[in-house]
Amino acid sequence: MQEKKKKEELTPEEYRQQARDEISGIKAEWKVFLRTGIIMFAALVAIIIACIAWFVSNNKVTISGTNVQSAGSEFELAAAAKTDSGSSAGVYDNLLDVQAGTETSIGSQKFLATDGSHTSITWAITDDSNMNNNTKGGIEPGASGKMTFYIISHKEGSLSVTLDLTLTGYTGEETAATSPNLHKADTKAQQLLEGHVLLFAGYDSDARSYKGWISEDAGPWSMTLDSGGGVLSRAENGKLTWSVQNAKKDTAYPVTLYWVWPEMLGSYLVKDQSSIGKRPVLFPDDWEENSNHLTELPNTLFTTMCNPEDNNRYFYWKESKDFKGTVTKEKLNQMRTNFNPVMYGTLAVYYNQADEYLGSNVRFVKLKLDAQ
Amino acid sequence: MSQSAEEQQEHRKQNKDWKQERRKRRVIWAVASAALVLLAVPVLAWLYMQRSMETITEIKKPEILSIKAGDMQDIEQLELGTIDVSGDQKSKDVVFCVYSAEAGKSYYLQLAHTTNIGFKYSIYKASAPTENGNITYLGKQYQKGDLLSGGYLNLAEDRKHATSTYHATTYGEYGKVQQAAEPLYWKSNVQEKLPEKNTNGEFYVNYYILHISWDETVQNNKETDMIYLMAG
Repeated sequence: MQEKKKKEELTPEEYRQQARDEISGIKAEWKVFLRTGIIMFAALVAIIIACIAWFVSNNKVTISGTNVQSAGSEFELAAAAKTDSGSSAGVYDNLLDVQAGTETSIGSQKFLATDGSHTSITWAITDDSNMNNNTKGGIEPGASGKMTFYIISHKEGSLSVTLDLTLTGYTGEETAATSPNLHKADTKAQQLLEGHVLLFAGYDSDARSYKGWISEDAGPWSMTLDSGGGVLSRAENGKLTWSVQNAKKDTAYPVTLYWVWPEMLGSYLVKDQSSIGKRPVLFPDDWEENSNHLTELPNTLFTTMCNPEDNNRYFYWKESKDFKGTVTKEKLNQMRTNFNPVMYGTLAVYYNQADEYLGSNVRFVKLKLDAQ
Repeated sequence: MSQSAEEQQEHRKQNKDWKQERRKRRVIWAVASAALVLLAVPVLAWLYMQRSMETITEIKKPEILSIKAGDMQDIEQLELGTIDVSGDQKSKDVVFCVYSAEAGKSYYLQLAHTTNIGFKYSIYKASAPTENGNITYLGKQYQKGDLLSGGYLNLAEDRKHATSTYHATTYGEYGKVQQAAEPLYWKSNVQEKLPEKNTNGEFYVNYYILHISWDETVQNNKETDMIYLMAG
């Protein structure tokens, strides 16, 4: 009886002991967990550091003129350097935050290229690849030219690079000597810049017409490049891709972009030069299914151009009522099929006002090519 | 009593199992998350491979000549749409201005028009907007000045229509052109110059009056003409 009584008396104590045991057991488990957690965290940090080190490491070794590139990247971006000793820098390059590329030679051609430690560089300028910035020229309505860049492949086999081109406008004081003096232009000016300074993948100098429009308002297209069998294509969603099936190691593949600031609205509208004098034609053909769409007018462009919202990239107006009543998709289409100079005059006013706005509100224009 | 002891033992065993279960789960979770991180870091690092090239150029200042209506009013307001020739007054005056952001620019004024209606056009110099001017247009008054000297480049002998001197320039090889659709080209023979001081904000402006007149031979018969004003 007493034993039983003892047992009964002990049980609450036993419970308490048990509880204490469990608590200390859990605490011990927590300690183990923390320990393993810390070790895991330390391992993670070590892995991250190793990866960063691998990317940032400069594996370039110069042995009597040869270059060894870091093995990580599949390609580098480059532009042709001037063959004589002249500088390949644009006259306003001191306003950019990036430096010139690294000198590279492939065969007999000299380039200024990106590499593992210089992933963003300035675009080298030559006499036939520039944006009127090899001298203090500048661009204006009616100006056009081309910019060539190279993709230097570091691997064999199929290579595909996603490209992204952006134009940014800046205002600046007369004596802007360094980049802190540059301020981005206002939103309207940025929009108009994208609608007036245009980029194309191809140009037909006989017909003075362009092909392969690179823009948010463009349609999809696909173009085979002359040299090296590469293909440049724009998808429906706007993604621009350059790809080549049988890339060869350490080969430079050229891609030429044509930039143009159309002097007249007519260049966007017409199919041939008969009503616009010697000015270029941007979209000589109408939209067709099952073609490469290179020279075709995107079938939503005229609707986009008539959009009376503030983000219209092509026109500038003082009174939105007047604009809405004057510029309509039907009239733009009519200019394309049956040009009427009087009606054209009423439409072109808004394009010319946009050019004036650009001229007064944007001083510098930066073109940036991103490749991934 | 023994029953409760058994229950206790049962309970303790369940606790132990449950703790084991929890420990197992924790270990699995820890290993899985470590594997995931090991996978994610190199993938993210690979995506980071980006290259870029940039260039910068300047937009030339628009040192152009422009034409506006009246006193720097929108060109849309230069209204020549419907002219009623039946009234007593046999003329209409319209004021326009030539301006630029650059001082002292020189230019010639030119006029081109078709000859369906028998209007006579002449350009007079005008003063800047003033009180008590003799010409009122778009709410402002101007003082009419001298006639701008100049002449037609291709006026025919009947002094109404154009010769075919500029046919090729205007229409290229197209042959079926009515005589009244052949434009008359007029050019000032004295070069005009924008003022050195700007009276209108940042612009340098010259004012002109386009004087359109007619005689009894012109009727209200819904004819149309095209007229171009140019400065360059």
